[in-house]
Amino acid sequence: MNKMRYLRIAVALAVLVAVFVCTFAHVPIGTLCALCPVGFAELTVASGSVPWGLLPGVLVVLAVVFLLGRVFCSWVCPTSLLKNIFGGRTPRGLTGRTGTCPGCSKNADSSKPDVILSEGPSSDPYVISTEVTEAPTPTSSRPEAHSAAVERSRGGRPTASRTSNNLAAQAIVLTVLLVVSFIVHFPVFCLFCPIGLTFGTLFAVSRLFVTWQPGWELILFPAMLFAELFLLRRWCSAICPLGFFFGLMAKARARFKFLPGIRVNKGTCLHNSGCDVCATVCPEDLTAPTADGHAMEDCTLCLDCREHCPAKAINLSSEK
Amino acid sequence: MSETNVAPESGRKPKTGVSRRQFCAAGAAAAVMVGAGGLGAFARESAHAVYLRPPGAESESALLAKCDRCQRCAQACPYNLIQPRPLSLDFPTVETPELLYKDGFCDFCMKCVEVCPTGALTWDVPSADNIGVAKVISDACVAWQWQGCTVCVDACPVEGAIVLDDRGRPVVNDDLCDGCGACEFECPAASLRAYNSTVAEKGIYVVSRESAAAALDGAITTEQLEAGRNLRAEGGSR
Repeated sequence: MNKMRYLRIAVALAVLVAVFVCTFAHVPIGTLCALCPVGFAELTVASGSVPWGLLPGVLVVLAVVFLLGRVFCSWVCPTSLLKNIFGGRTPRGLTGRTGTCPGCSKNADSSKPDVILSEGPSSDPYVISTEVTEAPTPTSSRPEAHSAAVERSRGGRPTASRTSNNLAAQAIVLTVLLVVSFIVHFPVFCLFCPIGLTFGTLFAVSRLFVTWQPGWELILFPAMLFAELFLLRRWCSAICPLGFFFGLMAKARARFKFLPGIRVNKGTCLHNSGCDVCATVCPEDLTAPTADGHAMEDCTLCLDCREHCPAKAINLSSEK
Repeated sequence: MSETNVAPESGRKPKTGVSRRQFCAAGAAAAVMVGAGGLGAFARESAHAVYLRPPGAESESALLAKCDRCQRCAQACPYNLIQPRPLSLDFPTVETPELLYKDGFCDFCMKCVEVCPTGALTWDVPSADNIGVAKVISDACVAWQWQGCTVCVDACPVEGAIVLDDRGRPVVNDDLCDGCGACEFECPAASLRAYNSTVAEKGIYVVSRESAAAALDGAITTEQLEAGRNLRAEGGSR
């Protein structure tokens, strides 16, 4: 079912809970802000001095992203936690990290049954995976399905990496926020960061119950979070300046084939027979069987494709 | 503005509708950031605000520039004195650490300074052993209104920082007071005097040395406390 999604929710929740337990137990581990590469850059320009104490944590995060890929985005970031919890039934939130609705656009012109939009009586969008396994019979030739799949992977979506475009967009945001931070002498992005807002909301709630001090942030922070994640749908892919650093790491790690990543077993994969389940569930809009190393830079290792692959052809391994 | 910036960068890759929309989103976010930065700077400037900060904060502006709101100081404080600032009109200070002597007072254990990863709280500044200064609130203090109460004098751990004058009223020696808050924490004014919403709850409060209230001589009134507590003193450093 949605095993991976619940697992991701559990991991991200565990991080939030750990921070709160430590707050009440006086263990100074800090929030995720203590590990933030953007915060490091912002504080450097805002104060004119390098906050060296932040550097070890920042380097650890970047090293983790280098070794494991953008696991932070799908497994730890409170943003995906909120999208996973409040995002409805689609794989990751109403929209994925790319800001597009997985399975909505690409099925509009295909001969395949519409996966998300016409579920019929079933409430689980993933039941389609069973239908798909039945539909394409590998022995019989289904040229129209085949061509549709190929066309979808070539024409419908660019197979080339969107990461470069994402990086450019995120670089603009990062540059502007660093310039503004430099001028006004305080970290500007921290006021908007959905990660900070999530922790801020939780602290506000705890203030409400522990010291009985309700504040405007109880309304404003969740409203900002909602606007950023569900109205401004491209937050993660085009705006998040953290994504810029992670994108750089993903670019770097793409050169090292021995690092773990999503690999497709071409022998058992049914993609050429018209199966498109992995692409349908992928919040990054990737088609794992056809995506090259560059395209896979967008992968956040959410493992939804691995879970839903009807042929069990997708694995997390080091060699392609 | 962003569109012109991105043109050369996006030229390397085939342009798609997706990227154009992404650049619009990025441009919009950048514009919001510029607006918020400007508004924040305006808010800071017009608020002239200072708050009682944990030990080791060099100044209000230095703390704001260096703090990344990771809350490690708040977690480290054994007495729950450090609270993230709530949202106010002076919104750039949101979530930065503020010292409240509600549950205890500071014994300068310096755990907050030890754990601060950004240098917002450091050892080598005057405030590391001098958080603020206590101000007697003349219209709330039991000893000033009646007589006989010596709780703050007894609670004060610094010899001579609070002394009784010839009429038995507490007087703070600004040069000796280190702002630990023992007096504020222990002050029984509100419970000894029946609840009166027009005067301060406590008869003595610790205020930031940068504040206008700290610049006043001797005991101050509730009105002066409320007006000057979080207001930067005239001519003070930013």
